[in-house]
Amino acid sequence: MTAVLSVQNALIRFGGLVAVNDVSFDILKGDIFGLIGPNGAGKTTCFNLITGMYKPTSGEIVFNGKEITGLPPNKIAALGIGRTFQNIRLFSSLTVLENVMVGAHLRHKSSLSSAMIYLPGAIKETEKLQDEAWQLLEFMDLANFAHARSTDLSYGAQRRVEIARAMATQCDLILLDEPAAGMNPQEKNELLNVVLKIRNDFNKTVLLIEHDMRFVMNLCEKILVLDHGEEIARGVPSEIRNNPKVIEAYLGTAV
Amino acid sequence: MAATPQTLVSSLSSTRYSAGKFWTTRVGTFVLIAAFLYALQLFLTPNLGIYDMRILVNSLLYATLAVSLNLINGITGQFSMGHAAFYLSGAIISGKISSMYYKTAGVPGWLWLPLMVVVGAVGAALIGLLVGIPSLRLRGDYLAVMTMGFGEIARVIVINQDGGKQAFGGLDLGGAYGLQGVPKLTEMYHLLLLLIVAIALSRNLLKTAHGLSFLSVREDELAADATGVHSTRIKVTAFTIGAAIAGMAGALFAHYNRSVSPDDFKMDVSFMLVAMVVIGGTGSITGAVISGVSLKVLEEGLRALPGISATALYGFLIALIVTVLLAKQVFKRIEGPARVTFDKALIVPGLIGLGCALFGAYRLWGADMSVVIKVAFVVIALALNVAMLLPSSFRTALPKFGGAMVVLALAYGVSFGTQALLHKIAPLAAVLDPIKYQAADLRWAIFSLALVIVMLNRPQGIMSHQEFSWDFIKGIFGKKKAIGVAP
Repeated sequence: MTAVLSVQNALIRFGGLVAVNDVSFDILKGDIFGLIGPNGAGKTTCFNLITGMYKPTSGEIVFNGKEITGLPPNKIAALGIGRTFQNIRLFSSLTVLENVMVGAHLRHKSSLSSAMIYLPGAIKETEKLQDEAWQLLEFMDLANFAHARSTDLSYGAQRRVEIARAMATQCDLILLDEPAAGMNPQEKNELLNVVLKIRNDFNKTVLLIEHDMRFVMNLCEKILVLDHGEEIARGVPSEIRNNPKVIEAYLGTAV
Repeated sequence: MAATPQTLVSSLSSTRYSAGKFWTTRVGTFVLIAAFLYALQLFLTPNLGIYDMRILVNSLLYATLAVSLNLINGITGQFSMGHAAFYLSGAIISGKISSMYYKTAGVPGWLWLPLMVVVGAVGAALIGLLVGIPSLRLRGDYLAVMTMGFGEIARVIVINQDGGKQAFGGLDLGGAYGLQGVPKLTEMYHLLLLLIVAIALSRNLLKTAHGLSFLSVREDELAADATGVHSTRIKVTAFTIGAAIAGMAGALFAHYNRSVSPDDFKMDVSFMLVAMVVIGGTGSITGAVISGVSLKVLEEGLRALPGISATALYGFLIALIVTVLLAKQVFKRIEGPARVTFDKALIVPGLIGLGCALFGAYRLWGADMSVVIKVAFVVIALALNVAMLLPSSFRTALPKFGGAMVVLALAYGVSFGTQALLHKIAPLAAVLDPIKYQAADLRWAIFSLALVIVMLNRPQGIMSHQEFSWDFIKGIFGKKKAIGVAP
């Protein structure tokens, strides 16, 4: 099977600091791929490289057979990569429903002028997008909060709104940056099922960063471990769990 | 985190589309607007004096400009401080063409004016595009500084285009003296029509999914980009549309005023527009219209007020500061059951204050002033009464208003003491006594004060992000309605 996303020898340098050093990995269609590592390992930087927030110093990133290295974020989103953020970035004064509707921006067919004159085409499209967003809200168990301001929601619910917004772009690959952070065990379990559903029912490929090892080990089929910007291990969860290098990176060496 | 998140009144339409209803409403609205404008032209215009008309025209113009700036500043969140430049471009481009060709072209005035409005819009939009493109690299304060500079540059260029040797291409835009010889074609109802169009365009935008992408750029540019919104294109579009509407307003102004003088487009115009958008509530079209009209009328209304001596003014200000600080300490210390009784008691001065506002409006009605200003003050007094006596604000806002009234009354009492004190200090009295301020001279101080008070008490502006709508009115009266529920 061909890779949905292929990162080849990605390297980014901020002044003297090499944040991501020569990292390569392939994600196949339908994977749930975990990217783990201690704080400051370069995981989020990796995400930012893939989504075009940063431009890599060298290396290339190929998505669905098309090189996307250095493209602007909105182009990459248009090609089919959706993401959530580590520190939640919702459109805070908009309602939950409106937040998710923004995700459908790429699928606008009516022109801006028809919207400003308020023609039937634009109205019908808005209603269609609204219905689609509504279905996503029901899927993410957010329908009760649809008309609440997104900042008024609990932390866990806000994370779900972010996932729904990314899903609304109808992306092929969804990047989740610490989706379980700040959630209690029950919420984490629910999230785990949601991610599985995203993959199984919506046929999406998932790349996620997470610190909660139990969550990662239960969910991901493949894992890549980064430390100081470099790859230290990769494989299935059972291999990672017993890898001495990984244990060292997380816990340090015995003195 | 709130346990039960508050429901918002979304600007998205709450009723499902049906062709019959849509077209009935649309045609009905057009007929009503046309009938209203016709009636206005037939009955109101001949009965208004020149001065009244001038105030009305100015307030309509500024409301239009505020609505167009709101598109850039409020809805898309790009802090532009050079809006006067777009207004000026529309005025000067259309004015120049009119002054050169109107007499010889032989086109009737009713056709020429819309043509010139289009010319003004296109001219200003092109300039908006020009400013918008570099703006995609700048954020926040940097953009504000750049647009401010641009506003001044545009004005200075016009001043230097006097047809002399220094002028670029020998182009004569009238220089500092102003462009003359523009035919008078604009009627008051044209301005009202433009205001309605500007409101309708921005309102329609917010009602559709397209508007959400503008709002998303305001809320979080990075997240918007990651969601597939082309944020730079949205920003440039907002600049262009906002500039086009300002250009239309400029064209109408030029053909009303018969001349275009750079002095009418100084930086304070831009500042005033920003103040209008901020006071109205950034992003609220209703707020922009309300504050646009009322600030402009207030500016004129101040001319009618009597002057005040420097001693009285400073005496009152000192007294006000002292009472506010003291009152804050006292109010803070009242807690528990006493607080409830105290808040209830404050309703009484609140009601007295409202009565005073009504009485003031009644007294003003008999005064020798422009009808427009009188009407505006009566409307403000009535609106204040209605807003305070609503069931939702009766228990919360009215006591606060009552508290403010008590503080004002106390400050007035104390001010006699502080004035006497100021008189006693000989060197100070020698300086202050001969000075007498006219209220109109203090307008910037008064606007700044209004801005400060609004920012302290209601940082979201008068209307916050809300719009006037029947759902909003129902919301005020406590009837909430679920919006956009999927079938």
